[in-house]
Amino acid sequence: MRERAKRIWSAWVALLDRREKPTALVLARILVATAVLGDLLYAWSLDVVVAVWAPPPHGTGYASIWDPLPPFMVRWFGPGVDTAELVFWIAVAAAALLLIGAATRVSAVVLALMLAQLGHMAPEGDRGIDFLLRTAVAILAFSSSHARWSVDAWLRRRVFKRPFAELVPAWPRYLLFAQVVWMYFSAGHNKGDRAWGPLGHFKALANILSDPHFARFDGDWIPYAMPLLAIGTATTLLFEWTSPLLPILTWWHATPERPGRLRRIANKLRLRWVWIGIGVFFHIGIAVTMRLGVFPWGMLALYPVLFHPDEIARAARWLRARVGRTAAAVLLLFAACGGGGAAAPEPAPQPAQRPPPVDHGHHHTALDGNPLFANADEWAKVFDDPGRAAWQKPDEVVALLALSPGMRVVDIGAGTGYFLERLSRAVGGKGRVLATDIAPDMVRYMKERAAREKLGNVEAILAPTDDVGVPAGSVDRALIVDVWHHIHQRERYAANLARALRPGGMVAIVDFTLESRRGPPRDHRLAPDTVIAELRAGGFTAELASESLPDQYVVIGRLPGPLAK
Amino acid sequence: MSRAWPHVRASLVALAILVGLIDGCPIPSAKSVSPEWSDTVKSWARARRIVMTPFKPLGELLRLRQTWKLFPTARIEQHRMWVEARKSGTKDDWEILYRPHDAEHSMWADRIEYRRLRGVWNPGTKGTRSGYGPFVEWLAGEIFERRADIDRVRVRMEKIVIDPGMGGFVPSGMFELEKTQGRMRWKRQRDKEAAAGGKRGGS
Repeated sequence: MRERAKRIWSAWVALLDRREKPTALVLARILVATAVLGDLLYAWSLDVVVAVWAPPPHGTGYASIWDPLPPFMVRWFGPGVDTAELVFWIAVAAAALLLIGAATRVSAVVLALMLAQLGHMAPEGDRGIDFLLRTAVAILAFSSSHARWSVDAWLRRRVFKRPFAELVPAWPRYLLFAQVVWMYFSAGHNKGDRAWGPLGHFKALANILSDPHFARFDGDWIPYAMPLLAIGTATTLLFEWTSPLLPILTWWHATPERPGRLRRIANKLRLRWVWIGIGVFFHIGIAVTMRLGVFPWGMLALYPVLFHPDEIARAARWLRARVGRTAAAVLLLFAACGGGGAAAPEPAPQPAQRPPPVDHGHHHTALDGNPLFANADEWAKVFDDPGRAAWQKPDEVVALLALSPGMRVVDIGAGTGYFLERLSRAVGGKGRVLATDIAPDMVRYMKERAAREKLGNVEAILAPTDDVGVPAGSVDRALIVDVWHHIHQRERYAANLARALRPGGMVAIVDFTLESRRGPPRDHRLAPDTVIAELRAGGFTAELASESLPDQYVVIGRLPGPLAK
Repeated sequence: MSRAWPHVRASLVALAILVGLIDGCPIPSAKSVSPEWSDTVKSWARARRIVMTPFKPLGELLRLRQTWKLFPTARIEQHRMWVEARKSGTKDDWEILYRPHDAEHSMWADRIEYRRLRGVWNPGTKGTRSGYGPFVEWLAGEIFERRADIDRVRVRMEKIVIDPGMGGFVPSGMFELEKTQGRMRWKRQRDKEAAAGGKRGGS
C-alpha cells in the first residue's frame, strides 16, 4: 500500500516536472488577453464603463454586498466614477501588456487583481466567463507563456542575450486543462432544470434560443429545428458530463503503443477529437445564435491548452506548407480559438516531414519515413564517405558509450550502418548490436553489410516509426546519431527508449549544434538543453558530454540502476 | 532546494486542485432535500466552510470560485423588458423606446444588451436583482440628458411564456417589476451632485 502510494506520488511529481515547448501556453496567453481586452474595449466603445462599474446614481455598481470590506481600490480611492475609470483603464493596460507579452508576469498579476476589483464593483455583471478568464490569467502569471511571441522574449534574446529555454514547465498547461474540464463538468452537474433531460423532452436549447433576452434571431426557425435542438441539448449535457474523460482520452491518444482494448477503440474512433470538435461547434453555435458577448470566445481562448505543443507545431507546419508563413500564423490563432479541431489535420503518430535537401550531408534518418531513403546503395556514398570520420569522430562517439564485452547495444536509425563495425568490435562475440531503421532498404543494406564484413553479432531490424523497435529491457546502451531532431514526440519516444533499456542503461544522442555549418536547416536543429530536458522528461538523468566533435554535441542520458557508470 | 522543489510544487498544485474540488463540490441546499437529509447536507456545508476558511482571503482577492453554471435553468416562464418614456405635458402617453427583439423600438440596444448590464437588469429565478433600481436610474438619466421632451421613464417586465413550438414566445400582456423615474427627481439629484462638486456619469 505504502509502496503504491509512493509510486503514485512519484508519478505525480514527474508529471508536474515535465517540460514542453511553450506554444500552447503562448497561444492561450494571446487569446485570453485578446478576449479580455476586446470585452473591456467593447464596453468602452458602448460608453457603459461608468454605467457598469460606478456606484449609483451614475452607474449600476453598488456596495451593499461587500463583505467584510469594500474592494481595496474602492477603499484606497473611494467609491465613485473616477475609481471605476481608474480600475478599468489599469485593467485595459494590463490586458494589452499581457497580449504583447511585455512584463508578462506582472501584467498578468495586475490584470487578475484589477478584473477581480471590477468584479467586486459590479458583482451582478461579473459572469461565469469572467471568473474563468480571471482564473486563467492568474495561472498564466505562473507560467512561461511569455517564452515566445512576446516583447519579453524579444528583449531576452536581442538585448540581454539570455534567451528563454526551448522547453518550459508544462504544469500550468495541465492546470488550465484541468480547469476547463472541471468547468464543463461543474456546469453539467449544475443543470437542474427538467428541460435539460428526457423528462423535459430535451427542450432546453429551444427554450433558451426562444428567450428574447438572449436569442440573436427571432424564433421563426425554431419549430422546424426542434428535433435537431433536442439532439443538441442531449449532446450538450453529454459533452459536459463526459468532460472528465478528456484527460483519459488525451493520455490514450498520446500513448497508443500501450495495451488496452478501450484505448484502442477510443483512439480508433478518435473520441478525443470528437469531444473537442463538439466543444468547438458548441461554442461557435452559441456565438452565432446567442448574444452572450465574449463568452464563447473566452471559452475557446483556452482550447489551445487541450493540445500538446507538438500537435500545434504540426498544425502550423501543415498550414505553412499550404498557405505561407504569415497566413499560417493568423489561421493558427483563429484555429486555436475557433476551429482547432476542424482546421488542424488529425496528426499521425509520426507524420512525415517534407523531403530534406539531398545535399544535407547528414543522415536524414528513415525515422521520418522519407522515400528518399529507398535507395540505400546511393545513400551509402554519402553516409559512408571516408571524409565523414574527420568530423564525426566515430571512435570518440563509441568510446562515450562505455561499452564492454557482452553488452547489448542498439543503434537507432542506423541508416547504412556507419557505426556497426566499431560497435560490433566493442561488445565482442558475446555481445549483440541491434541496428534499427524504418526504411526497409536500409535494413536490407545493413544485413548485407553485416554479412559482407562478417559482423556475426549484428542484427538489422525494421523498426516502427514511433518506438525503438526492440523488446523492453533488452539493451544496455543506445546510440542515436543525427536522428533525434527528426522525432516529433520526443518526450514520448524518450520514455519508450527508457523502457527498452535495462536498469542502469545509457543512451548517447549525437546531433548537430545550432552553429554548425553542417547539418539540417537551422529551424530543424535542437539545442542541447532541449535534448537534455526531453530525456529527463522520459525518465533519464541527462547531461552534455565532454567531447571534441567540431559540428556536433553529445548528450548522455542514464537510467538509475547497477549498470550506470 | 532544487531537489525538494518538484515535491513542493507537486504538493501545491495538488492542494490547489483539492481546494478547487471542495469549493466546487455540489452540496444541495437544505431546503432542496428531504428532511432526513437536511442535517447531513447542513453539516457538509459547514465542513466545507471550515475547510475553505484559510483560502477565503485569496479567493476574495482574486474573486475566484469553482462552481460553474451555464444556463442551469431553461424555464418557460420568462420576462421581456420594456423601456418606455412619457412626453412632458401628457398623462399616459407612453412611447416604447426599447424592447428586445423589436426592430422598431431598439434605442441603445447594444448598450442595454451589453452582457454585464444585462446581468444587472435581467431577472433571475429569484426575481429582480439588486442592481435593477440603479439601472433604471442610470437609464432614465441618459434619456433625460438627450431627450428634453421626456419627463418620465418607465422600465417594466412583461411576463412571457416561452413556446419554441410556436416560434418563440407568447406575450401575456401582464407586467411586473415596474420602476419609474421622473425628470424632477433626476434634476434634483444632479443639482445636488453639482453643488457638492461631484462628477456625473459618462466615461
